Amino acid sequence: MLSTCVWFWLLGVPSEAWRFFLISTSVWLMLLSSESFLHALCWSVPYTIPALGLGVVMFGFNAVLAGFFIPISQLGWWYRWAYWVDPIALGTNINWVAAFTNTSWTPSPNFPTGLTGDQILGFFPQSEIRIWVNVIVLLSYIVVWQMVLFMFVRFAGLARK
Amino acid sequence: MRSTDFGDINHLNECVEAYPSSPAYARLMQELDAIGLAARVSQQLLSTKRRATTPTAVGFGRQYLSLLVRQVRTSVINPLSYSFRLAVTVGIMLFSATVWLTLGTRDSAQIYGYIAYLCGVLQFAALVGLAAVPQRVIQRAEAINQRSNSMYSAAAYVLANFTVDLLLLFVFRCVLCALAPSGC
Repeated sequence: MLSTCVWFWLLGVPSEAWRFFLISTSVWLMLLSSESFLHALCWSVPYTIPALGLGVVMFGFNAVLAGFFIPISQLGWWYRWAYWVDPIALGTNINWVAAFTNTSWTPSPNFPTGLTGDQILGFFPQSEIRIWVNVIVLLSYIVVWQMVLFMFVRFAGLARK
Repeated sequence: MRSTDFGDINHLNECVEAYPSSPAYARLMQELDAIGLAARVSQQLLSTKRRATTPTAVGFGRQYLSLLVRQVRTSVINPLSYSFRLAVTVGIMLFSATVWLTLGTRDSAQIYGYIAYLCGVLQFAALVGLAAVPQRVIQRAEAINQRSNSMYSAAAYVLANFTVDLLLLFVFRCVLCALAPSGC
Protein backbone atom coordinates (compact mmCIF):
# COMPACT_ATOMS: atom_id res chain seq x y z
CA MET A 1 0.00 0.00 0.00
CA LEU A 2 2.87 2.34 0.84
CA SER A 3 4.68 2.01 -2.47
CA THR A 4 1.53 2.39 -4.51
CA CYS A 5 0.06 5.26 -2.57
CA VAL A 6 -0.13 8.28 -4.83
CA TRP A 7 0.04 10.87 -2.10
CA PHE A 8 2.87 9.16 -0.36
CA TRP A 9 4.91 9.27 -3.55
CA LEU A 10 3.96 12.82 -4.44
CA LEU A 11 4.90 14.22 -1.06
CA GLY A 12 8.21 12.42 -1.11
CA VAL A 13 8.18 10.74 2.31
CA PRO A 14 10.52 7.73 2.49
CA SER A 15 8.29 4.68 2.14
CA GLU A 16 9.48 2.67 5.08
CA ALA A 17 7.15 0.45 7.06
CA TRP A 18 8.19 1.68 10.53
CA ARG A 19 7.31 5.26 9.59
CA PHE A 20 3.86 4.22 8.42
CA PHE A 21 3.09 2.16 11.53
CA LEU A 22 4.42 4.81 13.88
CA ILE A 23 2.42 7.55 12.18
CA SER A 24 -0.79 5.56 11.91
CA THR A 25 -0.62 4.21 15.47
CA SER A 26 -0.02 7.63 16.95
CA VAL A 27 -2.90 9.08 14.93
CA TRP A 28 -5.17 6.31 16.17
CA LEU A 29 -4.18 6.83 19.79
CA MET A 30 -4.52 10.59 19.48
CA LEU A 31 -8.00 10.35 17.96
CA LEU A 32 -9.10 7.81 20.58
CA SER A 33 -7.83 10.05 23.38
CA SER A 34 -9.65 13.07 21.98
CA GLU A 35 -12.81 11.01 21.51
CA SER A 36 -12.68 9.70 25.08
CA PHE A 37 -12.24 13.21 26.43
CA LEU A 38 -15.07 14.60 24.29
CA HIS A 39 -17.45 11.80 25.28
CA ALA A 40 -16.84 12.47 28.96
CA LEU A 41 -17.21 16.20 28.29
CA CYS A 42 -20.65 15.63 26.71
CA TRP A 43 -21.76 13.79 29.86
CA SER A 44 -20.53 16.54 32.14
CA VAL A 45 -21.95 19.42 30.02
CA PRO A 46 -25.19 18.04 28.57
CA TYR A 47 -25.96 21.02 26.31
CA THR A 48 -24.66 21.19 22.75
CA ILE A 49 -23.49 24.82 22.48
CA PRO A 50 -21.65 25.04 25.85
CA ALA A 51 -20.09 21.62 25.22
CA LEU A 52 -18.89 22.72 21.78
CA GLY A 53 -17.47 25.96 23.20
CA LEU A 54 -15.69 24.20 26.03
CA GLY A 55 -14.31 21.60 23.62
CA VAL A 56 -12.91 24.30 21.32
CA VAL A 57 -11.27 26.06 24.28
CA MET A 58 -9.69 22.80 25.45
CA PHE A 59 -8.39 22.03 21.95
CA GLY A 60 -6.97 25.55 21.76
CA PHE A 61 -5.04 25.02 25.00
CA ASN A 62 -3.86 21.64 23.73
CA ALA A 63 -2.78 22.99 20.33
CA VAL A 64 -0.59 25.63 21.98
CA LEU A 65 1.34 22.90 23.77
CA ALA A 66 2.16 21.05 20.54
CA GLY A 67 5.20 23.34 20.21
CA PHE A 68 4.40 24.69 16.75
CA PHE A 69 2.69 27.96 17.60
CA ILE A 70 4.67 28.77 20.76
CA PRO A 71 7.87 27.01 21.89
CA ILE A 72 7.33 25.11 25.12
CA SER A 73 10.37 26.81 26.64
CA GLN A 74 8.60 30.18 26.44
CA LEU A 75 5.65 28.96 28.48
CA GLY A 76 5.58 29.34 32.25
CA TRP A 77 6.02 26.32 34.53
CA TRP A 78 2.38 26.69 35.56
CA TYR A 79 1.33 25.85 31.99
CA ARG A 80 4.21 23.74 30.68
CA TRP A 81 3.30 20.70 32.79
CA ALA A 82 0.09 20.30 30.76
CA TYR A 83 2.20 18.97 27.89
CA TRP A 84 2.16 15.59 29.61
CA VAL A 85 -1.63 15.41 29.63
CA ASP A 86 -2.08 16.76 26.11
CA PRO A 87 -2.94 14.04 23.58
CA ILE A 88 -2.48 16.34 20.59
CA ALA A 89 1.03 17.38 21.61
CA LEU A 90 2.08 13.83 22.43
CA GLY A 91 0.66 12.38 19.20
CA THR A 92 2.07 15.18 17.06
CA ASN A 93 5.54 14.77 18.53
CA ILE A 94 5.60 11.05 17.73
CA ASN A 95 4.84 12.05 14.16
CA TRP A 96 7.77 14.49 14.00
CA VAL A 97 10.07 11.54 14.68
CA ALA A 98 8.42 9.37 12.04
CA ALA A 99 8.36 12.10 9.40
CA PHE A 100 11.87 13.57 9.83
CA THR A 101 14.27 10.99 11.28
CA ASN A 102 17.00 10.02 8.78
CA THR A 103 15.76 12.37 6.05
CA SER A 104 17.73 14.99 4.13
CA TRP A 105 16.52 18.20 2.52
CA THR A 106 18.15 19.98 -0.43
CA PRO A 107 19.90 23.39 0.01
CA SER A 108 17.96 26.63 -0.32
CA PRO A 109 18.77 30.35 0.26
CA ASN A 110 17.70 30.09 3.90
CA PHE A 111 19.62 26.85 4.47
CA PRO A 112 22.62 26.90 2.09
CA THR A 113 23.95 23.56 3.30
CA GLY A 114 20.60 21.85 3.27
CA LEU A 115 18.93 20.24 6.28
CA THR A 116 18.94 16.86 7.94
CA GLY A 117 16.07 15.28 9.82
CA ASP A 118 17.91 15.64 13.13
CA GLN A 119 18.35 19.37 12.54
CA ILE A 120 14.64 19.68 11.82
CA LEU A 121 13.78 17.81 15.00
CA GLY A 122 16.04 20.32 16.78
CA PHE A 123 13.63 23.12 15.79
CA PHE A 124 11.26 21.80 18.43
CA PRO A 125 12.19 22.52 22.05
CA GLN A 126 10.78 19.17 23.13
CA SER A 127 12.65 17.28 20.42
CA GLU A 128 13.92 14.62 22.80
CA ILE A 129 10.81 12.57 22.25
CA ARG A 130 10.52 9.28 24.05
CA ILE A 131 8.10 7.43 21.84
CA TRP A 132 7.17 4.67 24.29
CA VAL A 133 6.60 7.15 27.11
CA ASN A 134 4.30 9.16 24.84
CA VAL A 135 2.40 6.02 23.83
CA ILE A 136 1.97 4.92 27.45
CA VAL A 137 0.76 8.38 28.48
CA LEU A 138 -1.75 8.38 25.59
CA LEU A 139 -3.03 4.93 26.62
CA SER A 140 -3.35 6.07 30.24
CA TYR A 141 -5.22 9.15 29.08
CA ILE A 142 -7.74 6.95 27.23
CA VAL A 143 -8.22 4.68 30.27
CA VAL A 144 -8.67 7.61 32.67
CA TRP A 145 -11.29 9.36 30.52
CA GLN A 146 -13.17 6.10 29.94
CA MET A 147 -13.29 5.61 33.71
CA VAL A 148 -14.55 9.16 34.17
CA LEU A 149 -17.20 8.44 31.53
CA PHE A 150 -18.18 5.25 33.39
CA MET A 151 -18.68 7.24 36.59
CA PHE A 152 -20.86 9.77 34.76
CA VAL A 153 -22.98 7.01 33.16
CA ARG A 154 -23.24 5.15 36.45
CA PHE A 155 -24.35 8.08 38.57
CA ALA A 156 -25.92 10.61 36.15
CA GLY A 157 -29.59 11.25 36.82
CA LEU A 158 -29.59 9.71 40.31
CA ALA A 159 -30.30 13.08 41.88
CA ARG A 160 -33.67 13.19 40.12
CA LYS A 161 -34.93 10.14 41.97
CA MET B 1 -45.41 16.35 37.48
CA ARG B 2 -44.28 15.85 41.06
CA SER B 3 -45.69 13.69 43.81
CA THR B 4 -47.03 16.77 45.65
CA ASP B 5 -49.23 17.58 42.64
CA PHE B 6 -51.53 14.77 43.76
CA GLY B 7 -52.50 16.68 46.94
CA ASP B 8 -51.88 15.39 50.41
CA ILE B 9 -48.50 13.66 50.45
CA ASN B 10 -49.50 11.47 53.40
CA HIS B 11 -52.46 10.16 51.48
CA LEU B 12 -50.21 9.42 48.53
CA ASN B 13 -47.81 7.49 50.75
CA GLU B 14 -50.72 5.45 52.14
CA CYS B 15 -51.78 4.61 48.59
CA VAL B 16 -48.26 3.52 47.64
CA GLU B 17 -47.97 1.31 50.73
CA ALA B 18 -51.41 -0.24 50.16
CA TYR B 19 -50.88 -0.85 46.46
CA PRO B 20 -48.99 -4.21 46.67
CA SER B 21 -51.88 -5.80 48.58
CA SER B 22 -54.61 -4.42 46.31
CA PRO B 23 -56.56 -6.44 43.69
CA ALA B 24 -55.24 -4.10 40.96
CA TYR B 25 -51.66 -5.07 41.79
CA ALA B 26 -52.58 -8.77 41.77
CA ARG B 27 -54.19 -8.41 38.33
CA LEU B 28 -51.13 -6.55 37.01
CA MET B 29 -48.80 -9.25 38.29
CA GLN B 30 -50.98 -11.94 36.74
CA GLU B 31 -50.74 -10.27 33.34
CA LEU B 32 -47.02 -9.67 33.62
CA ASP B 33 -46.46 -13.20 34.77
CA ALA B 34 -47.91 -14.39 31.50
CA ILE B 35 -45.16 -12.61 29.60
CA GLY B 36 -42.41 -13.43 32.08
CA LEU B 37 -41.81 -9.96 33.50
CA ALA B 38 -43.52 -10.25 36.88
CA ALA B 39 -40.38 -10.66 38.98
CA ARG B 40 -38.64 -7.72 37.39
CA VAL B 41 -41.57 -5.30 37.53
CA SER B 42 -42.45 -6.31 41.06
CA GLN B 43 -38.94 -5.58 42.19
CA GLN B 44 -38.98 -2.22 40.42
CA LEU B 45 -42.29 -1.17 41.92
CA LEU B 46 -41.35 -2.06 45.47
CA SER B 47 -37.77 -0.86 45.43
CA THR B 48 -36.91 2.57 46.80
CA LYS B 49 -33.48 2.67 45.11
CA ARG B 50 -34.68 1.55 41.76
CA ARG B 51 -31.79 1.77 39.37
CA ALA B 52 -29.07 0.83 41.81
CA THR B 53 -30.74 -2.38 42.96
CA THR B 54 -32.91 -3.55 40.08
CA PRO B 55 -31.21 -6.18 37.93
CA THR B 56 -31.33 -5.83 34.19
CA ALA B 57 -33.53 -8.19 32.19
CA VAL B 58 -30.69 -9.70 30.14
CA GLY B 59 -27.06 -10.53 30.79
CA PHE B 60 -24.03 -8.34 30.20
CA GLY B 61 -23.09 -9.99 26.90
CA ARG B 62 -26.52 -9.45 25.39
CA GLN B 63 -26.59 -5.82 26.57
CA TYR B 64 -23.14 -5.25 25.10
CA LEU B 65 -24.02 -6.76 21.72
CA SER B 66 -27.32 -4.88 21.47
CA LEU B 67 -25.65 -1.58 22.32
CA LEU B 68 -22.83 -2.32 19.91
CA VAL B 69 -25.20 -2.92 17.00
CA ARG B 70 -27.22 0.17 17.88
CA GLN B 71 -24.13 2.35 18.17
CA VAL B 72 -22.72 1.17 14.83
CA ARG B 73 -26.04 1.89 13.12
CA THR B 74 -26.32 5.31 14.74
CA SER B 75 -22.75 6.22 13.82
CA VAL B 76 -23.10 5.11 10.22
CA ILE B 77 -26.49 6.74 9.67
CA ASN B 78 -25.58 10.06 11.30
CA PRO B 79 -23.10 11.86 9.01
CA LEU B 80 -21.90 14.10 11.85
CA SER B 81 -20.52 11.20 13.80
CA TYR B 82 -17.82 9.95 11.42
CA SER B 83 -18.34 10.46 7.69
CA PHE B 84 -18.51 14.27 7.87
CA ARG B 85 -15.38 14.39 9.99
CA LEU B 86 -13.48 12.14 7.64
CA ALA B 87 -14.56 14.05 4.52
CA VAL B 88 -13.65 17.44 5.98
CA THR B 89 -10.28 16.26 7.25
CA VAL B 90 -9.33 14.64 3.96
CA GLY B 91 -10.51 17.74 2.09
CA ILE B 92 -8.40 20.07 4.23
CA MET B 93 -5.45 17.70 3.90
CA LEU B 94 -5.56 17.56 0.12
CA PHE B 95 -6.24 21.28 -0.17
CA SER B 96 -3.29 22.16 2.06
CA ALA B 97 -0.93 19.75 0.31
CA THR B 98 -1.73 20.95 -3.17
CA VAL B 99 -1.80 24.68 -2.41
CA TRP B 100 1.09 25.22 -0.01
CA LEU B 101 3.54 22.45 -0.83
CA THR B 102 5.49 21.74 -3.99
CA LEU B 103 4.77 18.10 -4.30
CA GLY B 104 7.54 15.61 -4.81
CA THR B 105 10.42 17.83 -3.69
CA ARG B 106 12.38 17.88 -0.46
CA ASP B 107 13.46 21.49 -0.71
CA SER B 108 14.56 22.92 2.65
CA ALA B 109 12.97 26.25 1.64
CA GLN B 110 9.57 24.71 2.26
CA ILE B 111 10.35 23.08 5.56
CA TYR B 112 8.19 25.52 7.55
CA GLY B 113 5.24 24.92 5.24
CA TYR B 114 5.79 21.20 5.56
CA ILE B 115 5.82 21.32 9.37
CA ALA B 116 2.76 23.59 9.35
CA TYR B 117 0.98 21.10 7.12
CA LEU B 118 1.73 18.15 9.37
CA CYS B 119 0.78 20.03 12.52
CA GLY B 120 -2.37 21.55 11.02
CA VAL B 121 -3.76 18.33 9.61
CA LEU B 122 -3.16 16.43 12.83
CA GLN B 123 -4.73 19.04 15.03
CA PHE B 124 -7.66 19.46 12.66
CA ALA B 125 -8.28 15.69 12.67
CA ALA B 126 -8.61 15.83 16.46
CA LEU B 127 -10.59 19.07 16.46
CA VAL B 128 -13.35 17.84 14.13
CA GLY B 129 -14.21 15.27 16.79
CA LEU B 130 -16.37 18.13 18.08
CA ALA B 131 -18.79 17.40 15.23
CA ALA B 132 -20.02 14.40 17.21
CA VAL B 133 -20.97 16.50 20.25
CA PRO B 134 -24.69 16.95 19.30
CA GLN B 135 -25.09 13.20 18.85
CA ARG B 136 -23.35 12.49 22.15
CA VAL B 137 -25.61 14.94 23.99
CA ILE B 138 -28.72 13.25 22.57
CA GLN B 139 -27.30 9.83 23.43
CA ARG B 140 -26.74 10.98 26.99
CA ALA B 141 -30.41 11.90 27.49
CA GLU B 142 -31.50 8.57 25.97
CA ALA B 143 -29.06 6.60 28.09
CA ILE B 144 -30.24 8.23 31.32
CA ASN B 145 -33.85 7.36 30.52
CA GLN B 146 -33.04 3.82 29.49
CA ARG B 147 -30.82 3.20 32.47
CA SER B 148 -33.59 4.47 34.74
CA ASN B 149 -35.59 1.54 33.41
CA SER B 150 -32.71 -0.87 34.06
CA MET B 151 -32.24 -1.68 30.40
CA TYR B 152 -28.46 -2.00 30.60
CA SER B 153 -25.52 -1.45 32.89
CA ALA B 154 -23.10 1.47 32.75
CA ALA B 155 -20.19 -0.88 31.98
CA ALA B 156 -21.98 -2.32 28.93
CA TYR B 157 -22.74 1.17 27.64
CA VAL B 158 -19.19 2.47 28.04
CA LEU B 159 -17.61 -0.69 26.62
CA ALA B 160 -19.89 -0.76 23.57
CA ASN B 161 -19.24 2.90 22.81
CA PHE B 162 -15.52 2.46 23.21
CA THR B 163 -15.49 -0.58 20.90
CA VAL B 164 -17.28 1.36 18.18
CA ASP B 165 -14.88 4.30 18.58
CA LEU B 166 -11.98 1.88 18.39
CA LEU B 167 -13.19 0.27 15.16
CA LEU B 168 -14.41 3.37 13.34
CA LEU B 169 -11.39 5.46 14.28
CA PHE B 170 -9.22 2.61 12.98
CA VAL B 171 -10.96 2.98 9.61
CA PHE B 172 -10.60 6.77 9.95
CA ARG B 173 -6.85 6.62 10.47
CA CYS B 174 -6.40 4.02 7.70
CA VAL B 175 -8.05 6.38 5.21
CA LEU B 176 -6.01 9.36 6.43
CA CYS B 177 -2.75 7.48 6.34
CA ALA B 178 -3.44 5.90 2.97
CA LEU B 179 -4.26 9.25 1.38
CA ALA B 180 -1.40 11.26 2.82
CA PRO B 181 0.94 9.27 5.07
CA SER B 182 3.28 12.20 5.47
CA GLY B 183 0.46 14.40 6.61
CA CYS B 184 -1.08 12.19 9.24
